Amino acid sequence: MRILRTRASRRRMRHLLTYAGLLVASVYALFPLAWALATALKPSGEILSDTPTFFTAHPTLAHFREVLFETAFPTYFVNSVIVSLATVVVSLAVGIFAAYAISRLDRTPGIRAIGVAMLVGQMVPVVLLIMPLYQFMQATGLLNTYIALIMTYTVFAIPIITWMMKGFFDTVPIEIEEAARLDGCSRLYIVLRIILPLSTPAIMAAAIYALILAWSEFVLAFTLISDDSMRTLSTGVFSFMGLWTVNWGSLMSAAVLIVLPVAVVFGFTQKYLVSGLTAGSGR
Amino acid sequence: MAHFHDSIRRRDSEYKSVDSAGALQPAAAARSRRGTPVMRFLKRHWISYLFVLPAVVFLVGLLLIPIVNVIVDSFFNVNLLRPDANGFVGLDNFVRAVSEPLFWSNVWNGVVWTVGSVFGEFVVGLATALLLNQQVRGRALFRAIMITPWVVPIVVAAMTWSWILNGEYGILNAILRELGIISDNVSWLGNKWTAMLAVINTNVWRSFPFWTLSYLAVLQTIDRAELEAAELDGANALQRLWYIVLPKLKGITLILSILNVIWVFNNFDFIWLMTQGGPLNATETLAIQTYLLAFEQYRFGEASAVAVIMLLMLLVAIGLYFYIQRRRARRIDAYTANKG
Amino acid sequence: MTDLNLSHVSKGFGGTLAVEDFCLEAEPGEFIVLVGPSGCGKTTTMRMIAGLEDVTAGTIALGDLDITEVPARDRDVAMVFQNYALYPHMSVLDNIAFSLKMRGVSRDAREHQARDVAELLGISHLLGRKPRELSGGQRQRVALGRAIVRQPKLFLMDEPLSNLDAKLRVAMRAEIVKLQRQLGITTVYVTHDQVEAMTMGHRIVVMKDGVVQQIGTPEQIYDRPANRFVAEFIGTPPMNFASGEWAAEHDELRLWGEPVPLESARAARLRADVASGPIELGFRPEHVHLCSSSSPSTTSAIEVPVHIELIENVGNSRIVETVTPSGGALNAICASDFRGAVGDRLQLRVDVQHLHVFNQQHARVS
Repeated sequence: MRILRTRASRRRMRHLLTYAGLLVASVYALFPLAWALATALKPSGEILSDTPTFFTAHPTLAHFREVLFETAFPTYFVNSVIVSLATVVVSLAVGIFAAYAISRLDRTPGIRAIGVAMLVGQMVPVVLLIMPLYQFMQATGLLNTYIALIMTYTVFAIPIITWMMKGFFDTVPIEIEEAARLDGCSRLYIVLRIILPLSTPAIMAAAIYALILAWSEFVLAFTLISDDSMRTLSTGVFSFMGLWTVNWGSLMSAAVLIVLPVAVVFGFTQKYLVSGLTAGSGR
Repeated sequence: MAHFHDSIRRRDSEYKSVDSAGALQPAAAARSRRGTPVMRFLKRHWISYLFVLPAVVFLVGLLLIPIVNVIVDSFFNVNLLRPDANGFVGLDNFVRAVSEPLFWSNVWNGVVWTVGSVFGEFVVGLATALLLNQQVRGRALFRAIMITPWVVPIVVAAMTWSWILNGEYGILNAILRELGIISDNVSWLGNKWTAMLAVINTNVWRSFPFWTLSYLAVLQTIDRAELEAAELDGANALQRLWYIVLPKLKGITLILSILNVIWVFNNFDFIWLMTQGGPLNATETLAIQTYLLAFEQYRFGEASAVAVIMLLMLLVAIGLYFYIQRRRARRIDAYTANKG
Repeated sequence: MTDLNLSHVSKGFGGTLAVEDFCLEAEPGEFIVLVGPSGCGKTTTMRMIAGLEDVTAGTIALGDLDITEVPARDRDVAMVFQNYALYPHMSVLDNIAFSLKMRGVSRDAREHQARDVAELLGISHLLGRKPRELSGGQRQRVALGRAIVRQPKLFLMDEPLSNLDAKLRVAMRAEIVKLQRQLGITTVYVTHDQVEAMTMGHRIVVMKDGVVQQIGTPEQIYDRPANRFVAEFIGTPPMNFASGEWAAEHDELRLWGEPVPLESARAARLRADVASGPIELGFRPEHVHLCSSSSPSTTSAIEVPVHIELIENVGNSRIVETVTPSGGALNAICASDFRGAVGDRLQLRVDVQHLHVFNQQHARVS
């Protein structure tokens, strides 16, 4: 009995330490967002205080009202939605077929090389490409258009989406496809009707990845878009920083408003994202 | 049922049939298959190429050609303000870029920024992954909380941390004053040393979840029986961690480190959004320099030269990455071959 | 008339040959079993018949058509996979009817046919379920139904019973045989289990390292194995082997130091085929008699003293492991009333007519 007790108490100790660690890490992860929300809800007078408090006695939506009704925030928001959704659709359509080929048709010469090229492509930093991409968009008259952003975001989403989907396709038993071939299916039919219905979790994960990428992207939006009416949220809100040097209440409410949609989507699809990412990063 | 059998038979009849005597001549039959080698190759593989074609078009058009473009531009005088002065200048751009007074300080800043960020991400990522791998209640919730920073747009991360670190009204100063650690406010982003720390912290905060998830994926593949065997052999929790768990994380740590060194060294967003390279160029890196040369001074040629220098550093890192990947893959192959 | 004809079929992967010069002619309605240890090329052969692997050399014909280059989906061949390979997102009904859908059969017609097949297999009550809601045995039946519904020219079965528990395996074995005889469709069946091979096939193809060792009926394979590999692979416990000595000049075969009495026909065959020197002799455990004392030497049997090492009770009989003075292990199958004990010293006797003689190249001579 004595041994049992010490074992149990040791385990309790370990749980206690684990919870303490998790709590500290959670505070680190969440505090900036919580503080942004707390600030956004405070009246201006309380924000610039020497002795700030977390909760205010007089919460106000004034800052949110300012951002939503007195700035171009709604325009930025719509632009971001259009660009993000289009990026998701295009990069999924392109990535799924490429992933299938790399996973299943790699006996074709060159297919493996394309897979490796994608891995390299995933590592190319955006900042190296902003000059040629700017010149290209300028030459084709695509500066200040959605297409410029959708195209460039898609390029940066394709490699990771392809590798995530490939990781998933690799886990689908090949016999299911062979059975379909013997049953009389063409390749295209196999991908669309046999493989895709089985891949919903991976497709969700890939879609969220592309969505987050497009929703957050800054450098390309900063260089390829100069027309204020075409700006997306990240660059639009960045322009507020120069505009309102001390209006932290409004800046923080803008920050909260950008995070909100991703946070909602993320909340609903978190488990797909985790499983999809881990499937892709297994090696 | 009969009609579809018929249709199949009709399709089959297009293929060579065995001669009625049943005397198959194997070698000859194998050689005399229909079509030229090229036709047969295409017939078998066209669908593979069709499937990858769109991806290849995107990658070549918007990744490969632009990179070539940068390399070419680095040997030319490309100035958007003075198109008349454009022309081949050899290595002039490189010479000018390297002799810029800030070049070497930018390289050094980049190294500090990269090493600091990657090390911070490693520490926080590993610690959180080990914590989340414990069998405690509420794991899923804690995991969701830990991943949150990763879905926050960088601009939001930059804004909220700038506010927390604000020199006059920031909450960090207020807390530190309350605790008696400082007596006067610190201008975290206005001070040469603390500014670098501040941007590194923001990067770590936003990027560590990727490490956490990658580590968790590996941790979850560890066989429980192995840990239980170690426990029966008398290893305590700390020894199990040190001798069983951590050795299995070596491979992924290397890969994550190299990938992130590449990403962080070339990163533009965090620094630009928080300090624009200031104060007094204390956080200026080559990425910032490239942007400033190109889009504030329109000296594309010189900016391209800086970009090519970054690209060369990148190639070394990628070479290292694949070298390690291949060595790992070979080890895994050898391992599975031994098992099978 | 042949239905399936494989003529000098070979398959190379990289530099190695997975299947070498495989020839087989199957009659219509014949049940052919490919058997061999893992990696022997049996599955590769089946996949080439299905069209899932390319043929490196040789031809495959089905009926009077050369299908060597025909894509899998146009071959009219149905396959049952080891892991069943059911479509996880489709109901049982849709799984069975899917191939008919691909062939353009109308919805009513294909559902009607699928229901008929389900009834035949006793899974009518499962038609609305998804594969993951089924037990292993039920999945197995759905996989069979999916193959049957098409009324293909050829059935291919790749170890279809290996994921079932022992009892179900025996039941399904009999059921598949009955179904195949009833439908009369030529079938190629791959297994590594020699009991399945013996009980199910009209003919058995034994393979090793990509090379066919023997093709024959179960009786031929068991009673007249072509070589030492086949003799050892088929039968449990496996055939006993002992080294003997052959002196062609004296027509003398010696085993355990004794001359083995030989019929003149047998002696003639040995003289023709075997060089003098060490030689291998085999006999099956069920042909071994264990006697408590030496009986007078006869012209038809040969004896060796042994002691008992282990007795395994398998219910209806006893498997007795014995060791000769020179250390050779020999198994005997004895009746369940066998009264020996470990350590007992006995005489082991084998009838000469049950002796298989293998030459130095391990091929069976007589």
